[in-house]
Formats: sequence, C-alpha cells, structure tokens
Amino acid sequence: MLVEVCQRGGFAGLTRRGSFDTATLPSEQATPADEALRRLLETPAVAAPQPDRFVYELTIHDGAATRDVEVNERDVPAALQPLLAAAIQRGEISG
Amino acid sequence: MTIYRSFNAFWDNAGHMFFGDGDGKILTQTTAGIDVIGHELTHGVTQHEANLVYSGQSGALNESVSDVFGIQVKQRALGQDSHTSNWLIGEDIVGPALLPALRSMKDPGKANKHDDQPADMDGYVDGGDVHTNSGIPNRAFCVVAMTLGGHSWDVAGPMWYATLCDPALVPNASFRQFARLTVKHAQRTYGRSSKEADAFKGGWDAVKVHL
Repeated sequence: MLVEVCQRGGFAGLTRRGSFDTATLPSEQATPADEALRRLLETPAVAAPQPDRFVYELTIHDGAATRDVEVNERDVPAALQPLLAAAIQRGEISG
Repeated sequence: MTIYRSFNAFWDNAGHMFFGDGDGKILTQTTAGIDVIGHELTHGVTQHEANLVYSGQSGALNESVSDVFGIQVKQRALGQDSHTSNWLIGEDIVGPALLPALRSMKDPGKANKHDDQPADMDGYVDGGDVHTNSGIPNRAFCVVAMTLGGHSWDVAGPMWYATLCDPALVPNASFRQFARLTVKHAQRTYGRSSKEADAFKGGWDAVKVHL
C-alpha cells in the first residue's frame, strides 16, 4: 500500500508531508503495517485530541482504491509509528 | 514532567506536560522557552476552567489562550511591558528551519517563512489547524495590551482570565462569543464607557471579529 502522510499540529503547528510504500518493505515489516492500515480504515480511532500533539491525515492507496483516514498521534499503531516518523523526516514542510 | 523522545511539547489532558529534545533543525530543547512552559501549563488551566473543544474556533481559542498566558510569563520574566516585548512565541526553541520564532502575536504570519497564521478574519482558514487560526485572537490580545500600555498582565491578562473562568464561556465558543465576554468583563471592572472597555472593543475590531 502506498501511503501519503500529512502531519499537522504539534506545538509548532507545522504541516509536513511525506509518503511510504509498504510494497518496498521487507515482509516482516510490510505485513503488520498493511494489517494496521486496514484496521485503521475499518475502525478509525475516535479518542479526544490532546493539546499540541500531532495529527496524521493518511491517504491510503490499496490497489485501485484510495481512502483517507485521520489519526491522532497517540492512536498510531506501533507497526506504523516508525514508518510515519521516517516519511515525515524525509518529506517537506508545507506550511 | 516527562522527557518525551520527540521534537514536540504537549499537554496530555491528564495532568502531565511533555517536553521533547527537538531534532536540532525544526525545534531544539523545548524546555528552553519559558513561554513554551507557560503555554503548556495553560492548557491545563483551560482544560479545567473552560474545556474549550480542540477544533474549529474553540480549538483556536484554546491554543491562543495558551500563547496569551505564555507571552505574559515571558514578558514578566524579562521585565518587559507591552511596548518593549517582541510578542514572539518560541524564539528560544526554534531550530534553523524556523528562525526567528514559531509565532508572532503582533504580526501573525510573519514569524518565519513557513508561518501561515492569519492576522484577521479575512484570512480565517476554514478547517484550518488550531495553531493556524489562533493568530487572530492572539493579535487581538496584543492590540488590547499595546493600546492600554503598561504590562500585559495589568489589565488585558486579568480580563482574558476572567473570560476563561466565566461559566458563560461554552466549550464550543466562537471567537465572537469569547470576544463579547472579554468586553463584558472590562465594562464591569472599569465601566461601560471606560478607556479600558474601548481598548477591548478596539482589539477585536482590529482583527475583524465583529461584536
């Protein structure tokens, strides 16, 4: 799955964008990441936001389907945390 | 207080402040800014006094109130009045990418090259992040404090605090509802046609929040 990541919020209030593709990962990383993405799409977390924490807007391309989901930093599944962090580090500040 | 392995600082709505070490490019040690510490502590005060919902205009007010009291802490620590302050938030914690500061309460949108805060309602961003639209009430506070002169905690700060603690301030308050309460408290405290009450009206007028 190709995932476009938009991180907003945080104390600095920056918008940062990046992406990652689970198809390029070794299967021991790709499989749990794909499962976590599907679970997020099925049951988005709805916890109340915490002030100044990051919010991630994910655009997930799975085959021909494209879907969006928003997730608060503390609700990011463990399998996705390093992938989101690396995507944002490689990406750009956009506002 | 917990040291948080990230380049961020936040309040967790459960009585804890978190301060990250920064990445050295965007943010540096977030404990280095006394305004940042004041900002995070104020999120705790806002949670318990007003519980402003953290999205839309109430979310931007939640953010702004934290900057409003964060800047007062900084001005007090530096012995500055409303005219000697630079009204910058986060100048002690920004890395090279965000120099010279994160936000300007006097000139929202001009703190650094990525700053997208609007300075008045003409630039209000529908669906924008709470840290974006907070520039509008931030500037209203700055205009009120500069109009009155002296220290921002003499008159402007206490009226903002009275508004935050007012049971009439609803959790999903709009900018206009918050603004009207600041004027109400200024009129009750200083008189309906006092220069203080006029300063509050002028502050909101400057950012095009119509009372």
